[in-house]
Amino acid sequence: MKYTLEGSNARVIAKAVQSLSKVGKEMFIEIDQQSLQMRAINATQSAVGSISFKRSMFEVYDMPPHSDFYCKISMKGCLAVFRNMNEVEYCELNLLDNQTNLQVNLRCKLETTKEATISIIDDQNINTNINTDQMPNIIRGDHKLLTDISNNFNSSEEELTLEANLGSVVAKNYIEGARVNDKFMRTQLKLKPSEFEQYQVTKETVITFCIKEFRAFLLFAECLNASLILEFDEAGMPFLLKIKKHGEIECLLIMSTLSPDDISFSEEYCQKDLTVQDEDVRAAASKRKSSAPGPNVTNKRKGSSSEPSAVQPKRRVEETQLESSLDNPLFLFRDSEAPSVQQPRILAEVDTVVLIEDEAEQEALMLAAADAALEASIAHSSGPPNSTEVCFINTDDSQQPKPPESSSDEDETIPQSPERPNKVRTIFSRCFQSTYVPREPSPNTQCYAPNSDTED
Amino acid sequence: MADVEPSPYGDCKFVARVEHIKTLTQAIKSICFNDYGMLQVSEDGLRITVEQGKSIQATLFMPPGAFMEFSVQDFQCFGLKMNVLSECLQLFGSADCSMRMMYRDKGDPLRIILYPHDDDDVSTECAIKTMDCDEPIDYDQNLKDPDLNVIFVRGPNLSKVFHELEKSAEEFEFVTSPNRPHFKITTVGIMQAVFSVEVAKTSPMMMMFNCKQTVVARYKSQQIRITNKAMQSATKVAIKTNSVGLLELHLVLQGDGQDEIFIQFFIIPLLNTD
Amino acid sequence: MSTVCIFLYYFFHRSALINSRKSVFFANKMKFRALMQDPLYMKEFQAIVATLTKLAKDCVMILGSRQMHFIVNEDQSSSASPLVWAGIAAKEYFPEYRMESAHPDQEYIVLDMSSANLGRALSVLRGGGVNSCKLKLQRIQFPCISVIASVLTSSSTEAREVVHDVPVTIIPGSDWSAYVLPSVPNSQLALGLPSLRLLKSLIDKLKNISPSLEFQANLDGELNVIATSEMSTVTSRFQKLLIRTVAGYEREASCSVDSRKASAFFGALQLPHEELTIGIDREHSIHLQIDVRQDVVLHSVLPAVCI
Repeated sequence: MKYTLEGSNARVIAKAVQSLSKVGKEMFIEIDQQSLQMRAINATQSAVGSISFKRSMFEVYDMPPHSDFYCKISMKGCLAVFRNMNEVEYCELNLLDNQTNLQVNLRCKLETTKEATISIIDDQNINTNINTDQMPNIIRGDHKLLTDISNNFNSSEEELTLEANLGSVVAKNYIEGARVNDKFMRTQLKLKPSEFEQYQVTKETVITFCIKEFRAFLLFAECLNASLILEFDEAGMPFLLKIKKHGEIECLLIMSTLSPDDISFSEEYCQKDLTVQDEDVRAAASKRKSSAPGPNVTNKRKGSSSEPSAVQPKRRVEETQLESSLDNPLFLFRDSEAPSVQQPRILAEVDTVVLIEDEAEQEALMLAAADAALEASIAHSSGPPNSTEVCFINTDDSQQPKPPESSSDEDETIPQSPERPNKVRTIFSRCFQSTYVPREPSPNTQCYAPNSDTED
Repeated sequence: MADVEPSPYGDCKFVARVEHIKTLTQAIKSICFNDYGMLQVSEDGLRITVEQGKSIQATLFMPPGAFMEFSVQDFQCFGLKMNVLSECLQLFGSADCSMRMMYRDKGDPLRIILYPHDDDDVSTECAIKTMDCDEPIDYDQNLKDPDLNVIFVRGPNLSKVFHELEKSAEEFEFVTSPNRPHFKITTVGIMQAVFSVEVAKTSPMMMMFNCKQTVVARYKSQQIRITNKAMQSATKVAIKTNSVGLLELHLVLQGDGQDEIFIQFFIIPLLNTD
Repeated sequence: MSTVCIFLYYFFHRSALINSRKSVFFANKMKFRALMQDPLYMKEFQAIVATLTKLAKDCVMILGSRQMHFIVNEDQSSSASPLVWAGIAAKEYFPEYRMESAHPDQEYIVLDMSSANLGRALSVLRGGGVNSCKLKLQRIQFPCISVIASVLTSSSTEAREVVHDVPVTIIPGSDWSAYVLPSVPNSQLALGLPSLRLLKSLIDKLKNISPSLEFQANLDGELNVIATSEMSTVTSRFQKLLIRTVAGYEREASCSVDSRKASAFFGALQLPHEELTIGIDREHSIHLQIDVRQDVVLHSVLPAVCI
């Protein structure tokens, strides 16, 4: 199978590779009768980006009828091929050796030929079962405008919050009212609907999503000199970013948004609970308090409550099966589960040092009750995915009978790769903290705190 | 400017002057891959040689015509620290300077005085300690055979080809041959991928192509990359290999004086293990 | 499970105590508000803050009734960062400037903040198209200096509002003794350097040659900077400089300073201003001064080192 492109089209593909490389470490390629699609999924599996190139972009599109092809290759190798594209006049893609190698042949100026052979890791594909058709909120803006917005935020920022209202949209690096680290600088940008090419907000909402992948696609929009279309519903529902160019290139980035379940608004105890968790974020971020790790605490935790121990192994199995199972959803954005699994590990560090105080007990009981309720809700909701959840489904053609392998091999599940949970914690750390403090003043209200200088 | 007699510098055995130091600075910077350098001056010109182990050698050669002023008594030879020399030449950053270089006698420092062109009231004088001189390895003898593969390539084009070689490779395999592929470099030691670049002998970047035999040899990628800096300022490059793969890259740089400046690299191939 | 929760609570309890202590310092009548409108002045103000940002993690902002000061202290952890401070006459930059301290006896509001945050918040002023920029001390969970810029964009006729809330720590009056504005040393000889460009790159390179630099100035308007190492001696000469101050009878003055500190100061400079006054207090310190405007001055003092 052979596909060829003229130089300038090859440069567009190169830019697409560069953008996708900022999303994931693996590149999924799917070729069917109509188009060639490239996809990448991020490490936390909260975002999947796909860019599709119509058949008309290719000069030769040698695809046997009624067939399709998909594969997974390493992003690093792919990036290396498409790095220096200025001199390229003609690009040829070949599938070689019974579809185990992808050969990229770049004919450059001055009778120079560059050739790369990249091994295909797996015949694997990713799909989404998200309905991408109609969303109540659609905002279309020029790439310059959106780049401008994104540039106002620090490159180390993890999430972006959009407050979409009928008359304005506010971009923020924090959630209104949520307690943040006292070294954290808040940034917000107020935009008028008139700045956008299309502004259709029928359902006022506040959504929070990852900014890194958003920026990756912004980069590609800039290269195409195209507008970006943002489509979204309410918090917890997927956020879509679409780019279209001449009907030949279509991009779709699906990102999960912070679910409202994770921001508790109502109960009294919340504020306290949250402050504590906020403290944890700090501890985790600075790692200053990592002096006393206590394995005994982990044991205690497992012993004292039965629920988490039921949750944890389940997660492990899920992790090992991630790449191989057909039916298991790759990613359920059901992170209400996360705090109850993750928190104790961090707290464990404090455990050995801290003494119990009497006055705290009553509060603790309330927290315990709240936690129990939370866990109950997890247990309750761990059924099959319903339509509101984002599911990235992994189709694997290689071999079906893999599940027994992973379930029987207990040894493999115990030294679980620490990578993924860590990433979840860092990238989505703020998402996972239910840090909503309803009684905090909004930044717009100008109130000066009561005067009580020690000197007075 | 009129030529100045060496007398104002007293009893110096070597005096040289350059009106613009840019090319000289670049040339010296590009061979600073090892700290110790050997400086030799004779009536032929100035030669600075740097070696690393016994596998790579670089020599910067400036004929007297590349200087505004050049006078030397006998044959002078001393060692010095390359990074010190390089830093001294770069003291004023990108500001263009003229330079005087003076050396009195064995054991004395090499004096370099820089005068920035855009400020007459500023100058800086560096005294660089000199050391005993070693004898550089003579690779040239091995490349005197008549049956060498010789290719002349335009510098900027070749620089691009070298520069774009995948940096994570451990080794590069060079092929020079009278048949296709005429000139090909392939990466070795990258997981899950192989990259190669091939230049046809009819390519406009080829100024001369004279290969009599097919030579395939591997080199450490790190040593090939050492030549990148020098290659960036080269106008022409001669690639020569003998049958065992000893590689000579002879770079021609346009100096600020009348004459050209040359940088010559010798790189020893890796043993063929397969 | 319940034990864990108790620890949780305890932790909260402690942090709440800290928080309440902080709010104790936050004064009722403490108010600060300033407005900039001239793009040139906004850029200059941004450049001064950007210079401080490059020097150290934290900076101190001292707000007086007519003066604003920034201080970047010598970083104790790394010897590279020198003592730098800037004095800004409020009327130069701010057509509107209002400061009310916590107590009528107190002349200042003293704030400690991350210089990187302040630098980032003001970076919007670097490009053109900013209508106005307000600085405002307010409390949002914790005290902040809010930087509110009104930015004109190509995509709309209306200005866009960009807000950054820079968290600050309010320094109570009892601790002010640690935040006193440094005094300018008595230089025996001070020379005016018309152009910084060559000196800047020279110092940057000399720090690789020697850990200390000797500055020699004489009454002929000549400044020599000498770096000595085992392998080389580099002497740089700047001639025909303006003589700004002469105190005492001797014809020359010299002082050796840490080359990394000197390089950090010159490397951090973001101001387009080229002129520098270099004063030498023999065997004590070198004083570097840049007059941005008549009443806007950036200072640094490099202490002498033993060779």
